[in-house]
Amino acid sequence: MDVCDWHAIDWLAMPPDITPKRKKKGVDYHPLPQWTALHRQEKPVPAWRRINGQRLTLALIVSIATLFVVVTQVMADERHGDVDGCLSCHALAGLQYVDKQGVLRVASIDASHYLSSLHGSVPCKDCHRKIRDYPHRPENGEVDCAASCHVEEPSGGKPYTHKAVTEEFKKSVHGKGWSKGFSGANRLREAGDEALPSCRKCHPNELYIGAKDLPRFREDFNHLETECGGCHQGKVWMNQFGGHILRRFLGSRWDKRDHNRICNNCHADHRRMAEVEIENPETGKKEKADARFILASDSYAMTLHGRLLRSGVEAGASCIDCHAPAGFRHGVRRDDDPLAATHVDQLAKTCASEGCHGFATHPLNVGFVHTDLHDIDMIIATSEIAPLDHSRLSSNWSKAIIAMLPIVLVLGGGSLLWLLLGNKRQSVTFAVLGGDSFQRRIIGRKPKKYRRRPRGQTGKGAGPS
Amino acid sequence: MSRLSIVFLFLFSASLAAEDNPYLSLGEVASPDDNALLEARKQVDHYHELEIIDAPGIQSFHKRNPDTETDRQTLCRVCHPALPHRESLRSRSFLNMHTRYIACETCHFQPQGVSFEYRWLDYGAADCCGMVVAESTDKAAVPSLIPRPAARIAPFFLGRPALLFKDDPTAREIRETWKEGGREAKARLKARLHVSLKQDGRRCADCHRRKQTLLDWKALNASDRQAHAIEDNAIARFFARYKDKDQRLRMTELLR
Repeated sequence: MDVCDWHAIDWLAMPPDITPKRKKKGVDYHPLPQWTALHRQEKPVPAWRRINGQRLTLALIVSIATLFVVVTQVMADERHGDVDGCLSCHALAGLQYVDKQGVLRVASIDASHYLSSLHGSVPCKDCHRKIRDYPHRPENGEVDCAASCHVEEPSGGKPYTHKAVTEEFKKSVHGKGWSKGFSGANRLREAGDEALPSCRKCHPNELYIGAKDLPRFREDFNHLETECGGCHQGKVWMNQFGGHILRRFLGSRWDKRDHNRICNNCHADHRRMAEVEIENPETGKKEKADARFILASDSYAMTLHGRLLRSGVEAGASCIDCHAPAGFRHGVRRDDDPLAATHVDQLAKTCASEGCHGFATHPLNVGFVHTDLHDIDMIIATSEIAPLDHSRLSSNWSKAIIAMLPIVLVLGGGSLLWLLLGNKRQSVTFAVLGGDSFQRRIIGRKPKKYRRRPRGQTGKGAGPS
Repeated sequence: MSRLSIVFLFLFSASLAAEDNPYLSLGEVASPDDNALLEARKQVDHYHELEIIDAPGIQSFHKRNPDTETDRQTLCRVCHPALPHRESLRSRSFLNMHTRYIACETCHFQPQGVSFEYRWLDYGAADCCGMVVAESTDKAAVPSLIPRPAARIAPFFLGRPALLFKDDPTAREIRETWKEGGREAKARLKARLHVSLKQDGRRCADCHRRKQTLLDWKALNASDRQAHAIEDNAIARFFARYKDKDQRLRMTELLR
């Protein structure tokens, strides 16, 4: 019964007191009619029986939802083992077979290596997205490196992706290489495109902390709580940010020699580079790469930069320091591309970048900037790919040799003649300039040519007086 | 008792007297029939050496476990490669995995009327023909069931391993015949060697079940926990749900 229901109350016939009450002069009010409620007076309900079932159910659902959110989102996203359960089979050693093409297919994964790797926090299905059935369909396991994954970049909180890198890669000279569709079934097909690099051709899944950095990382991590933990409290920060930041504190994962090693995996292979076809911008036709391209790795190795890096001195410029110094360092372009770091208009800026040759941008240093770091003349003369022929005579090295040749011949020939035919007297030789003065002042005698010979003696064999 | 069994028994006693290898004495007990010869001729015609390609130039993205190929190999390896299972999409990887600790003969050598004992055999031991039994102290040092890297579970008959290694003189003769013989000689040799061999081998459930398993886990020095894990293997249960060889099941079935 609703209190608004007119029948909910019983009006008393008369108010007990009908005397008007005056509140103010001239204003009377009459007492309100008395009423009493008709609903049944129930006994007070105990507190435990006042619980509303619906509200209780709602509270339970909200609690569970809140708990779910807290556990999955708020708590530290630690490096989980294997949420998709794939390692229950794939961690078994020896899962391999030979397919119809004769390719060895290995399904076993070193689980401890994977969980310690760069992708150790990435669930398997973040990359192998369509795997649902067993036996797996090869096309369902294909990987697209540009896809995002559930790992969140700690500072921004956004799902991590290599998309920006692949976009830069696709605009580069290597852009026709694979960046998606990777599976174990098509490794042989990709290997056939030997001239084109791909993501997996250069980048296997490496350890998050490399073996060479691990001792230092461990030592630094032991001090994390005392050094960083003085301000940053709690396991959430430690687990989510501590290792992430400390890893960067160690420095870059790769040094310049590692950069060169990745490039040289292909570019130092003359046979592979000889298969490369490059489009001629004038004719639009594809032509086989020339000797300069094929031997680019060798000619670079002869430069000061290559020698410095080979000796372990990081001051040298690596391949990508010149060819892709900016962005994600995958944007290698043709030298004639205006956007290329090695374009004639960009060279000065490239050489001056990274705090190297700051004076390169000065107009007087244009000659320095145009130094050819892949000069074919730095290759040994007996090279089969770039044999010594007339084309190599046009370089400055050849011209310098030609200019110096007469001087060398004269001096060398004269020395030879003197050795063979010269007067080899066993006498003291004095300098042409100052020799006479030396004899007079230091030794205290006249130079031989001023001494008078005694009568009857010949000039030869006459000793000092 | 069938005639074949009598032949087996006769040859069995003869083999004991002559101390022949059980693999030979139990295996080559009968001449192959015409069907087997016909099949063998077809297989010889189509046989080619398998060249394994490891996709040079494309390295594996995930780090792999090292291989455990033994230096000493059995007769099967004269013709069959190290990873012999290739046909079944579902089980070929797992079967090849089992070659790391189970001899080919354990699954495929099934002469009629003969029961074997299955024990660990160390392929790498100088004297191969003794059973390898892991010592009780090995468990602490080597938690794996496999006592040594080169050990395989092999069939034993009256205390002797029922398999033939490649360096055995008989095995060398077989290799020479296979290498230099003509089509007919190769077909007869192949048919003879495979009389007692079952192409399909064993089923998963022959070992991966709780009762009356093929292998005696205690004799193989397995702890109760290891034996239980093998008997109650989730992957074997998953495979038991397949009705035909081309069927695909959802991965979530593995959880059942």
